[in-house]
Amino acid sequence: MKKSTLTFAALGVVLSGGAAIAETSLSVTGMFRQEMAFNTGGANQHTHWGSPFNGRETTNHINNLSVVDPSFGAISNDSYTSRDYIQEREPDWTQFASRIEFDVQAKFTSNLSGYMKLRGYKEFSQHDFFKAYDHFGDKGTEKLGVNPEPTIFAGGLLGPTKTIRNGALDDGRGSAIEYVGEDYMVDLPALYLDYNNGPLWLRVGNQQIAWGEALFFRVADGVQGLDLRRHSVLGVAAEEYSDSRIPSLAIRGSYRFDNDWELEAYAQQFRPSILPRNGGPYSLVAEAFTVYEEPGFDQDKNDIDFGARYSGQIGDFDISFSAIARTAPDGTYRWARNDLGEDAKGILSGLAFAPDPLGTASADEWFWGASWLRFNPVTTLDTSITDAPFAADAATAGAFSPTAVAGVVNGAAPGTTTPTLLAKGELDLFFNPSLGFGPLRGYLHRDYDEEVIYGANMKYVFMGAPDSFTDQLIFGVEATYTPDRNFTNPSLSQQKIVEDEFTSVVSLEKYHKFSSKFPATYIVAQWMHKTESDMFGRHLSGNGSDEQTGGVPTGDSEFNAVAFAVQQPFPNLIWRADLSVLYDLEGGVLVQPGVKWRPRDDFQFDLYANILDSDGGNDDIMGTLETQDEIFARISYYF
Amino acid sequence: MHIKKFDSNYSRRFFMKQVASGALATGVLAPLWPTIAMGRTLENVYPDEISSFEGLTKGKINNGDVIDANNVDHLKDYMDEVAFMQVKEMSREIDTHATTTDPGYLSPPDYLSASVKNTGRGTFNAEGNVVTDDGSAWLGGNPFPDAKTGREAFANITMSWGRYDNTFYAIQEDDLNPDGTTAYSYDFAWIEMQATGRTGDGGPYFKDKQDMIRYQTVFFSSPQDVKGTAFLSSWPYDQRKFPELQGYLPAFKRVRRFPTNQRFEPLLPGPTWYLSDAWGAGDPWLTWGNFKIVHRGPMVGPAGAGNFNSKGDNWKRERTGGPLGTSFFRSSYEVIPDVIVIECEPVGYPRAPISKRRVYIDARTMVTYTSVNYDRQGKVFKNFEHGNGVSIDKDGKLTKAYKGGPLWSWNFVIVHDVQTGRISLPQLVESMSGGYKTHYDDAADYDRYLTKSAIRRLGA
Repeated sequence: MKKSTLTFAALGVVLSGGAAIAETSLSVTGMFRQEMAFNTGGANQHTHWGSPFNGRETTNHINNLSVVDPSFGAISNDSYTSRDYIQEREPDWTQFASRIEFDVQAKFTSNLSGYMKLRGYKEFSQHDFFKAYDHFGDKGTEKLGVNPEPTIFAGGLLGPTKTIRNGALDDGRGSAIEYVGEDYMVDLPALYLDYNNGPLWLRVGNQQIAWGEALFFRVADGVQGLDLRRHSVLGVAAEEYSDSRIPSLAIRGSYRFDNDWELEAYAQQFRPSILPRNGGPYSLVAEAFTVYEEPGFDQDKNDIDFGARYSGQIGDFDISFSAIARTAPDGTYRWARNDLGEDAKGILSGLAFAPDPLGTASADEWFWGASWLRFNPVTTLDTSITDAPFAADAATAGAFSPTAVAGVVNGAAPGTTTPTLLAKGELDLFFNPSLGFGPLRGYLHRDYDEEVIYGANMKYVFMGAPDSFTDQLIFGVEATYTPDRNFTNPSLSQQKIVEDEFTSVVSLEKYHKFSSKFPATYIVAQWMHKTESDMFGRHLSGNGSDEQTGGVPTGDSEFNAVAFAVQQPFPNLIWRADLSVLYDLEGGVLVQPGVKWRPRDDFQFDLYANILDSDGGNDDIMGTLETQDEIFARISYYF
Repeated sequence: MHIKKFDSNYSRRFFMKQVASGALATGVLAPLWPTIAMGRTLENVYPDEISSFEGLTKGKINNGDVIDANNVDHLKDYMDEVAFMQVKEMSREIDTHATTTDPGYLSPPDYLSASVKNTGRGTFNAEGNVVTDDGSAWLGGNPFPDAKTGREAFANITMSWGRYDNTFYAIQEDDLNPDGTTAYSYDFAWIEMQATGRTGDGGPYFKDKQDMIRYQTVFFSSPQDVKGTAFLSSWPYDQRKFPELQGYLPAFKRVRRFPTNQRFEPLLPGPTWYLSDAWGAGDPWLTWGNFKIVHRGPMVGPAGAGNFNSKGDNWKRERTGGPLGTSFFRSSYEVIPDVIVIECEPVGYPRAPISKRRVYIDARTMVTYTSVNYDRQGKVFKNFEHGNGVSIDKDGKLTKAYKGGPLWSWNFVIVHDVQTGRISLPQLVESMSGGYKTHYDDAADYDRYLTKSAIRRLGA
């Protein structure tokens, strides 16, 4: 089903529901908020300015290639510093933004109402070098001369400095109704009409759809992707991604049957998740890579996702069953041809790399970076050479598959070498400024694969004795099964990993009154289990390697994490203390303590901290976020 | 016309005897309920000494006078201690009017009719729940209009709160700091629907089911950050069980199930009232216990006419008293000839901040007009005064807000936490932000406001 069909259907619903417009009432409310985050953990290592390899002496592994060409044996493995021309940065203020929101609510008849939310958000970077980045706009890296983002040619034999990179996805827009500039965005996260008539409810327009009830973990909440441009995944945990969930043009409705079971369904335009912009303080994709998002988006942007759930009660159990047929918003990644059209200069379009002074500069950096992001540093090199789109030009450039060659060499003389040794040697050959290309930028495609998610949820409230542990203890289970789900291959191969995935969250939730003088404490504990990928959707076969040097991942067989949250309001609810903890059983932890102060109805102050830690091993979800410790505050004025 | 053939202490002796015997008999000169059931007014039920301010104060205060710090001592024995303190120490002024004698001004008409029709059919089953004499769920009206015990009287105020099958109250609330300034203002709707005991044409049971007693939603439309916050309580008929609570919080963007045993806490920052306070009986009544009658006799309180304000902007009421002269609604009291004061304890809530509650029930109609909570040390904590009455202003102007006639409803609530000095002032208004208007007996409200999908829809 394509978007035009959805649009016509929406119009039909609106017209049929809007015929009886009578007295209209309008109410407008709003909010202004200053949002600030002060980094205490160090520079974002996904960026060129925060890379741990800036100024670091690495080992030259070229002589590993002597097993295939003895002449390489003469090359010293002396250390060399490849990135000492990059200015290191360690910004304090990673967020300094102003937000304004207007809510307009209109009631046309007793059955028809409308709602619009306008959201404006502007980043006031407190560090000059951040100002050169395009945080929200559609410029990509076209700001020649001032933009510190990558340039593929550094001059010299390859010609003058030239920036070639695709712009941001959908001209920078995160959602369908959005206007963006370099450091601001204005959108309408809600613009819809509501029609209800007896047990029938329809909502038509741009809207968020949130299913499921779990904190941190998105299991049943699979309808929409997340927009992480504003504060990544590090917002207030208790708000459950409400500011991040990407709204979409949709028709959503429900019908409640006489037995009080409800059938809810929606059809919505596909919108992909949006990651923080490359090079920014919260970016998650290594800055040395360019992701071609447009081709995949163009291919699927008119896709319509469908979903339905059937909810009701069986005895004392709240039960729901759901099915979501969607184009997966998070997407999967694979190597891309650079397609720069600079073949005449020796930059073959069929390669997955191109020279870039801000790119990856050594085999050690490659191994560390690939492992840190849960890729296989050896097979990523293999596939960038042997997969069909690259094979011809890679052969022309003299590249070879380290795994294949190691097989040949070891076949003749067992134990001579390893794929890892050959990969490091080949990489350092490529990165060598005199023998190879110098630092290289990698190119990736982002695809959006279709899948069907089947889900079942259950809630049960224990009715224990007053003040006992089981007094109003809520037990919940959310579980989904996704057959043939596509995962990014840790080799970045064109061949995705396709496997069935089972995901579940088991939760216990309770209000407990520890003192008659204080309001009850809200406590929730959850356990998430996934069979194929981690909480961020990365396939578990990319887990497990040395944190300092990287290496071929050993893989994990399952993902398990627990979350624990406590909220303690104080009398009159003017103060509230929060503590949220997310712990990956492989050794990563996020601790988010915080306090809210609400002395008046028009003012609120929030102060939170994000404390992240990983025990290393490249096998937990916090490993890639570890330097993003911060204190963040929000000062809100409501009108 | 009031009967004066009995001496001034006759009523006092009558009520003392009632309390001492532990068995109630409403009406002093004539039995109350048979008089009402015969469609008669109440002039001949109570003597003048307890039917007017003149009689009650021996002429010190007359109907139509203003109760203030200078004369409130004459009423000290007839007011709850918080209201008395507000007048004596905080300059609250209260208007007065003649005692209501028309039972039709003390209840909605359908509820009164149902109480008459079903007289004598209410009883308790083995579990303690109110049932009809054939064992079915209650049919509607007061199950014990001529209540004989504290349990019967308390059951009356819990089985139906607003006394309509459906109510949608648009409410504006100011929450005051101890210095009288406004800290929080909220617009919210309080929506009730009887699932059993319905008095309209559709029969006593919603969808012919007898397992629920009511559905109730509270949802907020202002200010911005709480707009869309909604809680839906579905009350099982079995009053030993807690309601099922579903909530939509804008921060979550989804409906979640919540534990519902914490009923002694404000829903949002600012309000001094709890779910437990509603109508003096906000909890399933069998989660409370030790009901006992601690007082019988005349009191003064809001009832009848004078607490509606159709002339005010959006029905908003004049304010009086406190540091800025705005801490209380300027209400109008009458002498309520027969008040049953029940003391009860939150036995099902071991860590409740209160040790007991005194509930003041107007015996003429079995509705609460105020309640006082005491902390765990037995000291006064807060009151919950709700001004019930009909839509007739102080000047006698009638607003035909319901079926072409006067509307019986609660009009305002004063919740005064005397330990912190914080005061909440919710009042019934004609309409609230978002375009929602107060209305009654619209069965379509179930689908609009009282289901999970409804609160999801309301929660923008």
